[in-house]
Amino acid sequence: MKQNRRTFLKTMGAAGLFTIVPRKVLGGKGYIAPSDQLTKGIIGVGGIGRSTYHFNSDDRCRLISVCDVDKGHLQKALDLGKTKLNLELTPYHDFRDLIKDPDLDIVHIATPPHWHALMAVEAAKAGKDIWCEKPFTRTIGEGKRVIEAVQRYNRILRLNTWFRFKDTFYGLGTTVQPLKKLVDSGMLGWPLKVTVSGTTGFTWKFYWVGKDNLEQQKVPAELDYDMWLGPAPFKPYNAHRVHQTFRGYWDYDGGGLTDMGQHYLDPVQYLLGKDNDFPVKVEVDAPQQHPDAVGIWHKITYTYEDGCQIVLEGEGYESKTKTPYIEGPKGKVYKGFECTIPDIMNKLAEYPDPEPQRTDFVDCVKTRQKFALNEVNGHHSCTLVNMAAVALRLGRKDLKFDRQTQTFIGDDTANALINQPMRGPWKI
Amino acid sequence: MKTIKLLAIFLLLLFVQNIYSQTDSRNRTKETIVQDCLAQLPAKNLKSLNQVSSEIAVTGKEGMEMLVGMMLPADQAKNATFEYAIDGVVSYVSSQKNSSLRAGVQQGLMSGFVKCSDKVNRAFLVSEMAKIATADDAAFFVDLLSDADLKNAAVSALASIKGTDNVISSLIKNNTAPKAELAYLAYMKKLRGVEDNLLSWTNGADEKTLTSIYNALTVCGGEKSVKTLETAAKLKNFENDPTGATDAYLQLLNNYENNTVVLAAAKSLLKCNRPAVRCAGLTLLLKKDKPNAAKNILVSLKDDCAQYRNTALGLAKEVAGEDIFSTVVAKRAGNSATIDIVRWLGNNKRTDQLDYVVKVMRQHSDSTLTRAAIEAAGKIGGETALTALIGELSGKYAPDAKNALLAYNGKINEGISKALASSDKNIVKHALEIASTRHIYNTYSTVLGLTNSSDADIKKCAYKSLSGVSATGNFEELCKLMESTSDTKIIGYLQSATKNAIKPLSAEEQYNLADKHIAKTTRPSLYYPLLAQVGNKNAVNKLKSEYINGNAREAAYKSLLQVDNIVVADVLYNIGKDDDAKKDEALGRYLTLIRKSRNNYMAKYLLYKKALDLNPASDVVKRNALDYLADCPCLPAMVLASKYLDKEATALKAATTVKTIAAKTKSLQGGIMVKSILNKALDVFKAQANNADAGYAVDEINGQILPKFVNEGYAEVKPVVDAEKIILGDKVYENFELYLEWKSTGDAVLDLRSMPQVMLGKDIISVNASQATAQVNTIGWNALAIKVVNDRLSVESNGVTLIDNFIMKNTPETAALLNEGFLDVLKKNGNFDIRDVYVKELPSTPIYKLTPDEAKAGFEVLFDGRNLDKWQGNLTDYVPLDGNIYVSAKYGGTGNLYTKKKYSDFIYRFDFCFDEPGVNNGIGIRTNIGTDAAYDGMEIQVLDHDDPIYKGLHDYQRHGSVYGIIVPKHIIFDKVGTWYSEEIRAVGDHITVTVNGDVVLDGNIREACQGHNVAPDGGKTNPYTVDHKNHPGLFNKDGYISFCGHGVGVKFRNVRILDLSKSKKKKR
Repeated sequence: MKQNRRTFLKTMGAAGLFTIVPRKVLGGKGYIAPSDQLTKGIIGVGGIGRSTYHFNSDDRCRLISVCDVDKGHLQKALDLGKTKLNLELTPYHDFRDLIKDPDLDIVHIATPPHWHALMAVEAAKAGKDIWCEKPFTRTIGEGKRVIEAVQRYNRILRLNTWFRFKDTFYGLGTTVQPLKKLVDSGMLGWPLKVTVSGTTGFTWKFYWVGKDNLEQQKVPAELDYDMWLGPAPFKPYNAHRVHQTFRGYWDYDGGGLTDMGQHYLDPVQYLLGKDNDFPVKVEVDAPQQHPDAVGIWHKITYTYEDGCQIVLEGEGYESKTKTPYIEGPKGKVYKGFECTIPDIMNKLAEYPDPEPQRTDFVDCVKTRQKFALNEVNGHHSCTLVNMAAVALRLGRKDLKFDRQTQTFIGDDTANALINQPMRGPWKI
Repeated sequence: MKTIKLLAIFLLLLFVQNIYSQTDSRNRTKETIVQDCLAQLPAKNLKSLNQVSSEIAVTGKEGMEMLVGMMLPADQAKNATFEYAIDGVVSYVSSQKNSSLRAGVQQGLMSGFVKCSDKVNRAFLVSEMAKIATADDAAFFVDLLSDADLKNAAVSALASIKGTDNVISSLIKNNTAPKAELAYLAYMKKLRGVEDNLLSWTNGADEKTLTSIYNALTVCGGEKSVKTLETAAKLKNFENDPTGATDAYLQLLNNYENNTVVLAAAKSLLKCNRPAVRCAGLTLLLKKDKPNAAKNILVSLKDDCAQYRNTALGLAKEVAGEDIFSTVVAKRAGNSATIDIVRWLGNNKRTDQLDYVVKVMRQHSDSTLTRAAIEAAGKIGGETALTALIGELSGKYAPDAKNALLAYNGKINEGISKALASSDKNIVKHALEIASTRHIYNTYSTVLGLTNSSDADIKKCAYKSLSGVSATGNFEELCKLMESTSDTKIIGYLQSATKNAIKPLSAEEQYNLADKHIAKTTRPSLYYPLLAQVGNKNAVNKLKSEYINGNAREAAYKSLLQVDNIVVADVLYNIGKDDDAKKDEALGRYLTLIRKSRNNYMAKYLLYKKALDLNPASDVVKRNALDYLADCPCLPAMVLASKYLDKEATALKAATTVKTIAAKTKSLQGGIMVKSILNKALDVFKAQANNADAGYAVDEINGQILPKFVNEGYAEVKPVVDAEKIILGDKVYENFELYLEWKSTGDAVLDLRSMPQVMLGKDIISVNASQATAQVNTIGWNALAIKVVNDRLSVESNGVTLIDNFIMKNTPETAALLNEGFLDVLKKNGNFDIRDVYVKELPSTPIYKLTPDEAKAGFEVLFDGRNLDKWQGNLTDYVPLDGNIYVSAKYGGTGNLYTKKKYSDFIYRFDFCFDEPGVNNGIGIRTNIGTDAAYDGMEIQVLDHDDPIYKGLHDYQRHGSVYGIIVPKHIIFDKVGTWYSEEIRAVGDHITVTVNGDVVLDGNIREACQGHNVAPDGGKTNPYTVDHKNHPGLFNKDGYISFCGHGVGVKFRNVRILDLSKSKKKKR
């Protein structure tokens, strides 16, 4: 049997440790036994995967491997491992090989979205815990498959957007916590309407659109284009399809709507207490979308059964006068926590803080507790994004959603976009 | 080029070959319809998308086939429009309510596909066909399974189309290749009855096929598959091998009905050494053996593996019911398991198990366990939890307990009040913090009492906590306390307390209270923070005077920075201007306030510029200002930003601002000056390595902004100043836009085309001969934007429109309007300063001149392109622009446009053009002002009569009719944008209308109604007129000629008239 790190440690005993663990790790205070130290590997190191935020390694979780289908990206990550972290990282071309490593605990998926679900399922099957970048999955059906796999093997999954528990929420000028407190206090009344718009502090990044007349180009030598496409339909190569501009194509993502959408919408779902609910309707107002290239849109409206609404205002609403971020029958709150209820902060202080969330991923992995944003609520907020994408792509003014079956009512073509078949041999 | 030309000819031949005889309601051939539609794509909104899509869809097979045939080889990258069209139509007919049009579209796609040889286009067409295909079309996609290029698209299609189960089953039963793909389809369709076939394929299958079969067996398999997969998984030691046998085995077990088989399998999986597989086995066991679930859970909790224990707990409630909580708690568990259990109770908010949680908490046996219990108790809530948590405030778990209390699920006020009386110093300290954070007002006197505590810690804590528990009624007492101490820390605490105490009051009430205290105190600075909170004009003035004259200037300054009201902006600006040490800080705050203000963008720009002109040292301040400038979509903001493109620290921000403004502002998309600024920004973006947003900016500038550029654009003009006059550009201007900034201590006049038009005064700006005036900035600069086109003038001062589309007057008003002239400013008195002058020259207006024949005949030009001098009435909505009269809806005018003179017999000639489909206008003749020309006089109809919106139109309403009286010939209009020339000849009762040389109407109005323009019986129905209405003014002797507009979308030009009554007289 192949010896892995843990069995190796078991058989070697303490004396052997010094030969494989850098001395500094064993320093006095804060000593963490290597068997308690988790390991992670990153798949996709071209963009966010190589960013300062993620490309790190510490006593609690050590980076050991990186994977990319672009040799240039991979080499840069290896170099960065040396210069920044003083680590010899193991490089992989095929993510399946990275996942196979028995010494690996956590798989960090930082690829374009068309790979997320497939890789998450593979990682779960291999018994790894998962850190997945947003958006969670490219289709509603994929999200369901990830949930099944994660639960089949009892894995811990973190979907990576974080505004429901920390940081100022983009241009809103406040964190989400006081808003949650305000909503829960009932002072605004019910149902609520939340508007995610330029005027409330959010940008939909409409420059992330695709090009609709892409010429065919030669695939660069360093890129394995077939593996980059993976489950996506084959389309002739053009540099604009891949790397930093992939967001502009429906096959891989869906522009600002899907790429920023989950950042913006997940906290709204949390605020409204809809982590286990779906809207019953999505309405779209947009110019025509190209079948391949993502375009702009004007307005998207979600309606929940209880009348709560989420409104996304896009192109054409930039110069609109001030819109409330949250509007209820009894009060409104604007950007910068400007509230129509007088002396709101003092009033709010009398209410309890929102229930604490588990936001330490390493701790969650060790204690097997669900992370604050996981496969379940992550799937729900990603479904917001994905159902709008379906309506946009098909030019549907509105689509009605059956929350039980997670399918659209009376529209077979829209439903075909829920479980999009993958290009063989990939499957999920 | 040649090949494209040939191709075009080829396509043309194709069309000629199939001359599509059918036409739509507008008499368009299918070819025309498709072309018209293509011209409108991509559609700007869903409404027009549906419109265009339905029009194409209605053309059915032929139209769609034609459309597919138009696609060029994909490598030319020119197919976008066709792709929009095809996808739009397919999506449209895929909707249930348009399903009746599907068949035709499908047939067209199919025959187009057959003729298409381009691989990429073919794959596109297959994916589009899949969207609307039904089971009946399955054979088509099955055939494509053997086509290497289309295999994937075909598999996708078969997987997506409903009702293909039987087709796929029979393919599998017939042992057809490709097996891996068919197995995948079996999986997607969850086919039953193919298990044996799939199993038979496993022998000797390659890895890819095997993987696909195993995957299919998870949903298609039964007992035989369980065996096969079990063997395969065991062979791989339940490792995660590439064929996915283990996972397939687990999934199948989960889907499988036979419990005995599943349970046996699950139990053996528990022995596996892969934790994840053991967890999966346990999940199966618990789910499939509910009677023994509780027992199995208790056993699992003894396991060493945390994953395993938590798998059991995660499923416990679902599989073993509510009783499981007490069952688990009753059983003794190890330390690790107890931690899991306590968390589990908290996650499930088990009120009934609170005693247990509290007991564990109080034991303090293990720090992780204690923390888990504190967290759980907070989530569960309840009286016991509250007491226990407050108890924990005394020891090392105080921070955890405090967090739990702040989010505690219930009311804490009473508990905290009690805690304040505790003898435990630590409990009191933390309770103070909680009382303050949660604003437990009724603890005020207790807290105040504790400020006298002998314990220094508690004393300090109590002071600090006052801010959260003080209410308005406590204000005076707090002030007194503040006055009685000199401890700066305590003063700080009391200042926040006083602020919070009166926060619920109105600003005015707050100010009065603060002012009253300042008046009698020796230390006014105590109340500065209060003034900052008030932030109204009075408060700011007070702080300002304290800053200038007071003896606590720094404190006043600090408070000025805290004011959250635009009224403080000027004060901060002046501090920044006068005090170098404070410049960055004061201007930084100033900029933030300006940005938040409700000023319009032009006013904001002027204020940002003012701050930048002081040249703050901090790059952060500069970058912020540049960031804010991006919200000012105007030329001067872009020019200002461009000045920061050279310095590295500001280049990227400046470039972003330049790009943002250029993208947002259509009027800036032209000319050399803006282009060179944009190119400079482009260079900045290009130099950014590894910055995705910069990459997109390059694409946006090159791909979206620069291609829209027109020739006309702003150019800078250097003013030439002499004693009385400032000359703006040493040339003559006709149509132009002008931007400049000015300030004045006296009066000056701006001449446009050498005519005095705008008075620039010390405090007021006014436009010549109009009522439009506005206040101006008396100290600072003012922004002035002017547009002059033909006889129309628009003036915007500091971002506010003074007049728009105003008909310019010369001075004196009787003098003729000059069509061109100089731009200059005449200084009358005081100082006048000017800067940043930019002029955009607009195209010169073409002037219409009569042909020699018409001139000789005596025609008079009524509209030469430049003005409506010969017209009266609605001069607001009828606008002369680029040589035409446009009908506009922008300016809110009402009524029709009439000639100044009356005419009886005449030849009236003009050109007209429909800019939009469905236009409705008309030429009123022999009519009067303010009446309906159709009945008072005549209306010679102007109408895009074949537009679908005019379905059901009567022939006497068509273009060219004498409305309601005489029916004209039916004109077939060419596409929108085509010009037509028309002549209306009216001689006595004889009316002749000629369009493009074709007489469309020639008749006698009196004969047409047999002399009865009104019903002889005096009733409302007139049997003699073709529209059965009365036309009382039909026989008017003379009257005005008018345009009877019904909205935008039509333009007229070259309007001239020959007055026949005059020439008759002359002849006589």
